[in-house]
Amino acid sequence: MTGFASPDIPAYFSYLLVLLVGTFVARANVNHLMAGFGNRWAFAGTWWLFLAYLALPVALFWFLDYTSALQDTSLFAALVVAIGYRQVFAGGVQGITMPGQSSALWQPFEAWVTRTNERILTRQKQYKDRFDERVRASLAANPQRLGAFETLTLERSNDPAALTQTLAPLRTDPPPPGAPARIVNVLWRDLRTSVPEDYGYLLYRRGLVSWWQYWRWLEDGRSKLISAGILLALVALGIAAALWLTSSSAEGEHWRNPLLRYHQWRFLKLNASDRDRWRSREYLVAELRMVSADAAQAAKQTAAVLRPLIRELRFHQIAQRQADEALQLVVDSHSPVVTAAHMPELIDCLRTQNDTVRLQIHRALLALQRAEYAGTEPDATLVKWVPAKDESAGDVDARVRQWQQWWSGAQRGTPGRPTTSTR
Amino acid sequence: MQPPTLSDDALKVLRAVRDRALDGYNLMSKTGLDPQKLYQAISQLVAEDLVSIRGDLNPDLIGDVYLVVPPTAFGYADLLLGQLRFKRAP
Repeated sequence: MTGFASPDIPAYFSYLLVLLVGTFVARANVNHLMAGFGNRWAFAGTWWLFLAYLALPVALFWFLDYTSALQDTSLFAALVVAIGYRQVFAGGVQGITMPGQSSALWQPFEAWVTRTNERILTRQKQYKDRFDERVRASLAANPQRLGAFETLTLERSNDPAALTQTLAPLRTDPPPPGAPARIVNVLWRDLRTSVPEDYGYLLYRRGLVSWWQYWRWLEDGRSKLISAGILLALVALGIAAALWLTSSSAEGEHWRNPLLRYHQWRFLKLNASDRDRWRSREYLVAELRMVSADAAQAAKQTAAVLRPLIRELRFHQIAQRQADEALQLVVDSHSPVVTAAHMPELIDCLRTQNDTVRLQIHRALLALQRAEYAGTEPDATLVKWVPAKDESAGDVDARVRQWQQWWSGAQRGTPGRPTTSTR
Repeated sequence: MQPPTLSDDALKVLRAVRDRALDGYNLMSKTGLDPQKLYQAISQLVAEDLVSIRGDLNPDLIGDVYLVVPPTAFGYADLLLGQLRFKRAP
């Protein structure tokens, strides 16, 4: 799927798409799984199932991207995973292969679904039995209602004669113990056998159960009420989140920080598509071009953008491409305020154990010196220094100190005009 | 493994509950079985682990039971119902 031709969209759109399509698929799955369960959305277990079915494609999409089975910026991959994640698990989608034994995870998930389903069925049966019991008790307690119930049942019975005959021993004088309840039980079974789907509606039409009782228990009213409540809560949460994200703090609107972190993640992501990396690079460069002229403010803004990227340069197993991209961004975005803000940290990164990256950092420092501090030359031996593999920690430390000395001098002097453009 | 020999009544019940949970009253209405036959059909399905049941499996109270095919038995149920369709095809 990585080589599959597809429009390349920002990853947050892909995940949003998986979530949106996944919502409909999850709802359909739960409805199919629990078809025939009255008031199914009134149970916490059903919502857990729904959330699990919703989380599954999102987690799978992330996992397949993490293992490079697909790219999370591929529109078609997002749609395939959102709709057909079950087939992906089963290995039925050409071009998307689950790594190793990971497809075996479906079995425990299915076992959990079955257990949850069983629990809900038990609860549903309990609630339905209690409803039936309440209605039957209310009918047995009131002779008028019992009469109306008997009339209804005889009207609808498949075999009124047999029903009358069954009721006869219960109509003796004096009546046998518990006669009203036993009569109701006989009538109840007959009515339910004769009109299994609509018995509740008929009871409601004859005024034997209230509309509220009928709607809540037999028209999935509890399910509808709870679903509406959850939907309202989600809408309120969405509105609150949107208001918060668009509101401002001292550092600007709240959405800027998550978006910046997103682009930093994408910029350093090893298996990101070229277009995705380019999008993030453009965003980061644009952020660096907008830094304030005020040195303190600029230092803060630059640190927010570049510090996480520069910090990665210390990791000795950083991929060559990541180091290249980070340093190119650092050099390309040079300006007096930006460069001054990150120079000490960049110099300190020379201590990395990775000699190749050390060489790249050294070259970047030279490029920045020529671009922003051309009037303050570093020591000639430092300029000619080529970091080597077998260099000792002491040698590296000496070079770091040389760069730091140069930086102290450069800060005291007036920055020179750029003599070499690195763009 | 040999597929079980289910009676026609049991297969009728299985087909009715394959796609949705049903109570005994609805099952009697949909399959046309009387309580005794429904009880026997359900007993067969329970013995084969093809259905999950809630309520007492008793001919007198068969209308009050709730029956569902658990997700783990979907494949097995489809296989049995598919074989039935194949056998009956002209």
